[in-house]
Amino acid sequence: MINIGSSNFIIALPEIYLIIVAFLILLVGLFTRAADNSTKILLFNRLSSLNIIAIVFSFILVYAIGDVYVETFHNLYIISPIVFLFKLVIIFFFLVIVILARVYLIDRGINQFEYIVVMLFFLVGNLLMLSANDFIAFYVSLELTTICSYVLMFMDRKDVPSIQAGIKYFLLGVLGTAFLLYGISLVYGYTGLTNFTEIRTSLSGGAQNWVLLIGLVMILVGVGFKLSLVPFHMWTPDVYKGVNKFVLLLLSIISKFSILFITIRILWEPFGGIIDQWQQIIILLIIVSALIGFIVAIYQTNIKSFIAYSSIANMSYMLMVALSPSTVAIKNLIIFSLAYGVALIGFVGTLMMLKKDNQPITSIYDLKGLSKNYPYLAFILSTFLVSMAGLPITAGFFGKILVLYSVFLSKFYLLGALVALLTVVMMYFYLKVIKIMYFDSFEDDSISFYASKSNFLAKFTLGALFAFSILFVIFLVPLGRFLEVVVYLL
Amino acid sequence: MIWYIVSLPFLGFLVAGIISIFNAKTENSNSLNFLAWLLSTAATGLSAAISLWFLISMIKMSETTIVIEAQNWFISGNLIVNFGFTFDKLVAIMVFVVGFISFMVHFYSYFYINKEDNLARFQSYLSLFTFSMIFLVVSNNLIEMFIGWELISFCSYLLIAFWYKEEAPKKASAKAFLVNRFADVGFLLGTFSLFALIGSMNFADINATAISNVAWMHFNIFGIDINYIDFIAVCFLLAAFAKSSQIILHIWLPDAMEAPTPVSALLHAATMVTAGVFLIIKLAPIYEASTMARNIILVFAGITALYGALVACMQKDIKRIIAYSTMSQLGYMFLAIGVGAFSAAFFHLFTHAFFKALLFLGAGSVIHGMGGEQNINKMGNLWRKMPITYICMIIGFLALIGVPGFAGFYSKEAILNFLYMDEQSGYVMFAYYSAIIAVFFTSFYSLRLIINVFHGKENYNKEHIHVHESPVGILFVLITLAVLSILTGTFLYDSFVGETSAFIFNGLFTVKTMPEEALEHSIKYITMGLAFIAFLLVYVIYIREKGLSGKMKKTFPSVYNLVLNKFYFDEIYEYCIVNPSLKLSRKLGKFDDNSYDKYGVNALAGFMYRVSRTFSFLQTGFINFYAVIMVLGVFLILTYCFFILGIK
Repeated sequence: MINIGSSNFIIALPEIYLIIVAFLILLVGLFTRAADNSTKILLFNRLSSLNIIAIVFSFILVYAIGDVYVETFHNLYIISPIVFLFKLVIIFFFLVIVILARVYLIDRGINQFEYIVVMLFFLVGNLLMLSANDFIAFYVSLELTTICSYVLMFMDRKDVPSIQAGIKYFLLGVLGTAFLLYGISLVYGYTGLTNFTEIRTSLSGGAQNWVLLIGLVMILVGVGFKLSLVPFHMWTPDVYKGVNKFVLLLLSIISKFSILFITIRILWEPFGGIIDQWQQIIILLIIVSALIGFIVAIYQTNIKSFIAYSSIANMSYMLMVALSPSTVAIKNLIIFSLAYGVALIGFVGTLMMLKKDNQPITSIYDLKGLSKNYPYLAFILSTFLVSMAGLPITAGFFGKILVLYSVFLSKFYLLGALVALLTVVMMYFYLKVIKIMYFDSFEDDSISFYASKSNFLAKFTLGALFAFSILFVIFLVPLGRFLEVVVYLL
Repeated sequence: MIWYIVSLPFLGFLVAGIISIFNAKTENSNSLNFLAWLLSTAATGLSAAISLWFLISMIKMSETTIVIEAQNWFISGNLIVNFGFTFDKLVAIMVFVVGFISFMVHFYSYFYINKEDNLARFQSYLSLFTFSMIFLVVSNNLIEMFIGWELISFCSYLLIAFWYKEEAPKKASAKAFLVNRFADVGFLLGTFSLFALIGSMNFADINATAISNVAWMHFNIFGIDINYIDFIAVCFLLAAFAKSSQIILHIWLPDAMEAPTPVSALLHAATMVTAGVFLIIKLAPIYEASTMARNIILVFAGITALYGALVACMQKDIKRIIAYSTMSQLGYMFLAIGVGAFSAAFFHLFTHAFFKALLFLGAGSVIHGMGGEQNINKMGNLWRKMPITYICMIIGFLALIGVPGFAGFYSKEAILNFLYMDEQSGYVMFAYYSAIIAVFFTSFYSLRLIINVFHGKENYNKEHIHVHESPVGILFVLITLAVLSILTGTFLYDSFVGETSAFIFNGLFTVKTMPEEALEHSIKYITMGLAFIAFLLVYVIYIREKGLSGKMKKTFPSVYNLVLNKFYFDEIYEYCIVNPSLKLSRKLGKFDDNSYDKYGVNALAGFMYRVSRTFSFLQTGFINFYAVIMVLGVFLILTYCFFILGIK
């Protein structure tokens, strides 16, 4: 154990390691002469490989530190079984996204090495946020991820919509952050504490106070903005439509999942004592978000704005797990997030490698005739869509049904039934895309698949995601057993 | 060993099926076809050989029943269904017959099916057909049997529509499938009622004691008292009547002649139509207990025997004649069941399998030699051109008519004797006389076919059609079956219906034995006399006085048309059932479109779509608007908390 003062550094090793790698990449980039474009691309490629290896190592580090229960850095930082699981999920998804996006980024003309540095800081921010055990730590790491995501949007300089999206996200994000900070200070005003564990002890007897309640609501508004819960969701379709597909995945998977996980921790840990007060607010938010997310999604024809509504809907679906603290709920949440994340990453990752008339695919109608030109690719895409829709055999089905199961276990029957019915509505969109791919008439074979050259790792990853989605039945039992062992320690 | 008997045909199906997929891509290569044929034939032949060996060892061991239960298939409350096989001597014999006939048909097909067709596909269907029938026969319980029962319908559907590019086979296959599906209701109803009554679906539990324990139970519906056992018996009869094409549900059988001839042989001799008879024999304890069901059987089977034989006299298509003959012979089998002589029914099923396969395959040989011609009026004097086929067909028809010495004589004579010996109720009398009269018509159509096809004038165009004897493969099959059609009767009479028949059937049902002197009974002379009269009549009408048939047509036009058009059964069904149900379904469809779809499904979908569109318009793209909505949201949530939830 490396102990400096009273701090245990070793449990924060994944983040420390990633920060060191980020600085290393920064140094290498600064001191490498890259005059023309091709050297830049070469450099970007090499550093990307380094990046991928670093992420794999950080995953191993998190796994090696294991599901211990340790607080450190004056109780600002915590590792617990639940955090351990969350971190594994986030790093796994980040790794997959980075692998899939490498060729895509270069093709879009993004070849600055700073991009890699920023995305590493983005990951570090998320990991720190998951480990936060204090509102200050939570706020700081949240800001780290948010600022990194602004930078990632702005760095796509040739793309005007991306910059526009960045500005929108920035302005509204400031508003959301303000609410969050206001909420934190009100909670501090009532309790005089910022530490999760201490707040939990002080509120464990239950407390009814309007200052505390306003603080709680403001915090929920702040995270609700990031989770794009209705009515704080208005930025989502606009921003998603503007950004490139890599940032889209970071926003809709990494950022969403980690904020959802920390929201669940905030609700269960500091505010675990006043569960009756936030439960009704969360139910209200879930119902409104589900109604808007699931129903409005079906009108969309732009894939990115569809993903926006889909993520609104799925966040509300996942938030149902937060309603009553239990170990089963966490287990089912992890399975759902794996299923949904794999399907969405697979779907977008496949689209990243497709082009129509040498333009990226934006509308679902661009996929016409895909089944004739690339039958295997069309089948893979259909599998991901079916998995997102939650039809049987695919991973999405088990995810959805398990979450629903835990909702019913905690006796929210009407809510569960409503959301399950709304899921059926959104199935329309997924099946429509499949119909377009397979049955709509098309003129020529203008669709091209450009990742065919030497990008073995991306193709392998895509195949693995596909196998995970369609053969989830095989993984379900060992995965469940692993999760059970970890969650048991909770 | 038992596993091999069942699974080998299935293996043949798989192999031939996989080959047929490649075959379709390479446009029916000859070598692939040959490979599929060889493997599937070998598999079926091996299965038949194993079943013969098994049968012999079973007789030697004098063991009554062998039950193999693989494991529990599913359990639900009281309902325990095991997946397993039951072998008793009856089953073993049946399995052997099915396997053997199927082997013959498999072998024959290579020489019969055109080289342009996908023979591999054909062979795979045949193998599946065989597998399903064997599965049905060895099944342990009614649920398992139902699988085989349905698979048979399905396979017959596939095989009848083998030449799916033509219109008639498609229609015929749909007809066969629909009629059989309709009758499956009876099977299911019977199964469930039986379970409700005796709490089991295993054949082992359906025995005389179990049935007699519940024979008193009645239920009352609309003021009518119905005995449970009677009800169950009638339900199963419905299923059996459709499969075995008894009258009213027989309409699919003649149309099924659109199938390639080997299929007809398999369908009529071993796999499909015998399933109904076999089911009833399997459920013998129920029919022993239910006099009402037996009387129904006697009436329907009597009419069927007569009807089939009569209609066959007027048909022109060589295959249709034999098809109606099957119908009439199935009527005989049911007649035996009607007087409780299950052993005689099974014996007739056994001998019939061989000579009916012989007749169909012989007809196939004729059609093959004639280059596809099926109308017997366009044949004639073929006996010089195809002598071996001629002799085999003669043997087949002699067996069918029941001439002493041939197989059919022993089994049919046994049935007639059992009918004669039974208590002389009205039903039995009716059945007995219709059976006797049917013998006359049987002789008539048999001889008519022989004379029109093989004798008389050559009515075909000699320049276009070069009649030739069939290849050795076909002749080999014909000769084998012809030999069996002679031998099976004499040698097995005693074991099936004679003094020693208890050895085979003991424990399955009450065995009625036929005393040795019964064969000396005068029925033999009556039937032979009738056959002789029929022969004279045919000779006069078709050889001596050619104008006579025309004269008869003019004298009795209504009778002539009635028989020619098969008593207008198809037309009546068309008018009474098909057209009204078509009309009804069209109306219901329109009603559904205009009510439920319009105001229910489509309205809801349209509503969702409109809501979706409306909310999409809120996405204006102005940040200030978004911020306002956000702040409004905060206020709304706070209001909700303070006023509605009442948190202070």
